[in-house]
Amino acid sequence: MASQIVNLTVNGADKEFIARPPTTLLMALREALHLTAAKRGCAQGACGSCTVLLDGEPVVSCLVPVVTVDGAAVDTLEGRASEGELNDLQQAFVDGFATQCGFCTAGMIMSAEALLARSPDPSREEVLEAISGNVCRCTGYEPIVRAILDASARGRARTEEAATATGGEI
Amino acid sequence: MTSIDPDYFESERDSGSGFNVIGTSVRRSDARSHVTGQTEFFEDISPANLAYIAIHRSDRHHATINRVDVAEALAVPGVIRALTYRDIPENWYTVLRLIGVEPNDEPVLAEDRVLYRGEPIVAVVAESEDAARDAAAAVVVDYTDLPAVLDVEEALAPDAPIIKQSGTNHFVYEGHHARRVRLGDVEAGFAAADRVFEWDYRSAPIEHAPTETTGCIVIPQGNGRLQIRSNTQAAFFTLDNTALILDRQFTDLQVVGGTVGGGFGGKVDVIVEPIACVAAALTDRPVKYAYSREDEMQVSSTRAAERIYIKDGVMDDGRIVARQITLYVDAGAYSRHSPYGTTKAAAHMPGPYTIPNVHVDCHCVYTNRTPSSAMRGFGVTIGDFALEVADGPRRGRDRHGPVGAPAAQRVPGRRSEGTPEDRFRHCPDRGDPTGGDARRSGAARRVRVDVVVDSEGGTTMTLLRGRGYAAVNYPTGMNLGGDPSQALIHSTTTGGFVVSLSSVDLGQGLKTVVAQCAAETLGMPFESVIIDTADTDTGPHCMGTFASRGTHRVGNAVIMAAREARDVMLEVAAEELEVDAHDLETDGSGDILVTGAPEKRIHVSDVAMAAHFKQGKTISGRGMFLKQKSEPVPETGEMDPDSCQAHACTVADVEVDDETGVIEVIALHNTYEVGRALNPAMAMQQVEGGAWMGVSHALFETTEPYYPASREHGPVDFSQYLMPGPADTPAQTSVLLERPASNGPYGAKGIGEMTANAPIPAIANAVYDACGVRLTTMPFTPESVLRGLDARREAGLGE
Repeated sequence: MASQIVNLTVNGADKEFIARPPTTLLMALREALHLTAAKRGCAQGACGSCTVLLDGEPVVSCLVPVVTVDGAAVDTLEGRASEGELNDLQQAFVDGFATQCGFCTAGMIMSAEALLARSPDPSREEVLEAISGNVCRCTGYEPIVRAILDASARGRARTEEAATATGGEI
Repeated sequence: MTSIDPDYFESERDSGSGFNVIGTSVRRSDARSHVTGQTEFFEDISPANLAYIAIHRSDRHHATINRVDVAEALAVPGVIRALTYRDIPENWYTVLRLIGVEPNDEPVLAEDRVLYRGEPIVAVVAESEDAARDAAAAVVVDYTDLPAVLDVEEALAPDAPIIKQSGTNHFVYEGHHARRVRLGDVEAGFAAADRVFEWDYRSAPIEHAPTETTGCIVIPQGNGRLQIRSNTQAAFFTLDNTALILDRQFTDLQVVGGTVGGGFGGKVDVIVEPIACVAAALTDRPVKYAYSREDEMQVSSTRAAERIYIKDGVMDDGRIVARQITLYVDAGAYSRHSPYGTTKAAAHMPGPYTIPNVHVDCHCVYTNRTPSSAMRGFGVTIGDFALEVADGPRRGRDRHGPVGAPAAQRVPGRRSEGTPEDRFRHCPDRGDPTGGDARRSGAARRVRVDVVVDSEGGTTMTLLRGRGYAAVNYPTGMNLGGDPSQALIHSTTTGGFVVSLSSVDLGQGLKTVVAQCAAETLGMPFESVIIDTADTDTGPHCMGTFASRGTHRVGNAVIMAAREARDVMLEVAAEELEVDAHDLETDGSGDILVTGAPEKRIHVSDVAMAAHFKQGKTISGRGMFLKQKSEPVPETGEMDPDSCQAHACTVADVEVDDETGVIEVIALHNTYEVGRALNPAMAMQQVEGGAWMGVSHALFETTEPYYPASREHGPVDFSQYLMPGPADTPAQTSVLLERPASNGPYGAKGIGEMTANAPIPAIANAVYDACGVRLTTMPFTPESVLRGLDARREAGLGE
């Protein structure tokens, strides 16, 4: 099988690289682009450690042949902080002691980001469902659930603050 | 200093609430790098010219190897070479030889015989993972099958096939087949008892299932040295064993690690590093050997399956007057850490009780199964399950109504296993004799009744509801060997303090908590302490991170080193301020000030500059923890472990569906006596994360094959190896109790492992409370509940 040139927009930046057809999005990110936040926990789509956003939707990148998503936009954990400032989810994970070994953290945060993008005020059940594909062996999940709900509250508070500052027009 | 005087830390222990950093929930020092993706795990490095290893493994339980043919494997494009046992300089080893537990009974690569399915025979090195895998599959091995033994008790039968070259199927300890505990006269105790109960308990093997699989990358350094980038839990344990296997100088190796995606005991076995080192040395290229998820599930070591027979003599008032236990640990094909786990089991079997007559035999038995080894709470977890479940229904009063009676008729919170007050009868006070260890006392148990909160809500009341209770204790650290850990500390010229360690942070927060210890002892801000770990070139020796030892052992070493450094720091400051060093104090701000004259102060950065450029002094210190070695007396098990014991109680609320047998754990109420909570939020992380693992063990986890007769098709991934998901996790309330330990860093004890233990018997007792079914085999499957309900109906208890 001939190698192909693949173009992706990764965390807002255009990337071009050569990949063989069996190469997964995960291995392309890690080996071709040296973005190693997404982890290989099983390479079977069962642990969620490699979760990234593909055109805004959470996917287990270990099951996506990269040549099939040429031209797509990919978001990974590396692109979340802005100028050294953590985003709400990242800060909530730090403040809420929602990390232990850290191996599942990238996947958890990306799954949560997809949730908050489509549901800024999620119920607890929505949070549980959103991370149901992400395995954590350390925390017992509850600190992670709390952190995601906390991040949601932080985001809403900022939105309300902005609305107040602009007289209600956002 | 080579041993710890129990009073050495008295001043820290008794400082009470006058701490600056200790006892505060400072943010984890690694959290920011975790949430930004900057934490570097071993597989995140990508050395140029990397080669890959895949293994051809035995597909037989027990067989003679007649011939190994690697011709087809070598013909696979991209294959560099194939390694067999002939390439391993010292092929036979056992990891615990480092603390004197022998013989070397395991080959790195199998020679003329395989003892379990999955045993490595040939290691293929190739240019890509795919090529390595294809080539490993192309290796041809010709076998002659030998009789296999797959059951611990069958392995001890007189006509059992002997699988070990030592000529026995059990580990021999001091000439005995078993680790023993003997206290009082157990037969006299049974004779005096009002009632005698006998139960047996079983558990399945359990996989550690870390999210990051076991692995390493070995990089030749060009000077004859090999750098091992590994996710081992124990850097020097790995270095020492690997050097012995390679028959090379210890100085030829460097282990760099300290970032581990979950360990739980599974990354102490030194399994991948030796083969990767041999491959790297022979090819002179960087080599990666990482388990696939299937490898991790199928061939990595397990928590040992155990079988426990308990006979208790009980008085009508609830006192246990005699306890006899026979326990079999299924070590699988090789020793690994199982002999130590068996010793630990024996020491633990009396439980956290005062029982005057105890007789325990724990057998470490070899079978043709995947080797078991260390896992969180090993030697104790399954024992706690058996002990605490036995301690419940033993009281003999079956107060259950008919199966299917409306649960609303039940009294929520009823404890069929006896009230906590009943159990207090067994709580030893200081000095009471207990089997094996005279230092236990039941602080958490005594307080539990005051702090547990009754949970009345959260149930539809359409299911059978029950509440169960369990109490456990757990020793801190290894009780064989000296269990050493060392620390070095020095100040930078900018006023920071670098703590050099080789200790591994598994995610429990070791780096954060020992930085708190250093900052507190120095009197400096937490932010001024930099932890440099885990590199064997720069960090002093540490046994490793296992056995609930990290915070206690490393924390003690860090405090000692920080004290030395503080003495020099004050000496330099005294010279600068022209006062006596005894008149100086610190307030945690970074300043050193004169007692009674707080305006007269100097910042630590100025002190560091003065030491370096003016006074020619090094602000540094060395610290080490080494406990007195104590071996159990073979005949009685008596020993002085010189360790503290942490205590815990868990109350579980469950609902049982009597039509499906499904158990749902609604809530767990945990109380932990932790000595001192150096960082309460992180201690709580351990408690609640461990409790989740306990629920997972209790209800789901097993690596048993789906088809026991053919022993085919065990779980290979997370979709088959069941664990509770986010929505399956019970609500938890947790309380930390503090009773500073005499030899703990600021009084702390180790709690990392025990957190998974108490929920298991608590859940079993709650199921009994709900529906009268005694669960004696882990995991507690719906089928086992239904079988129990059927048995009750047949006995006329449920119609």
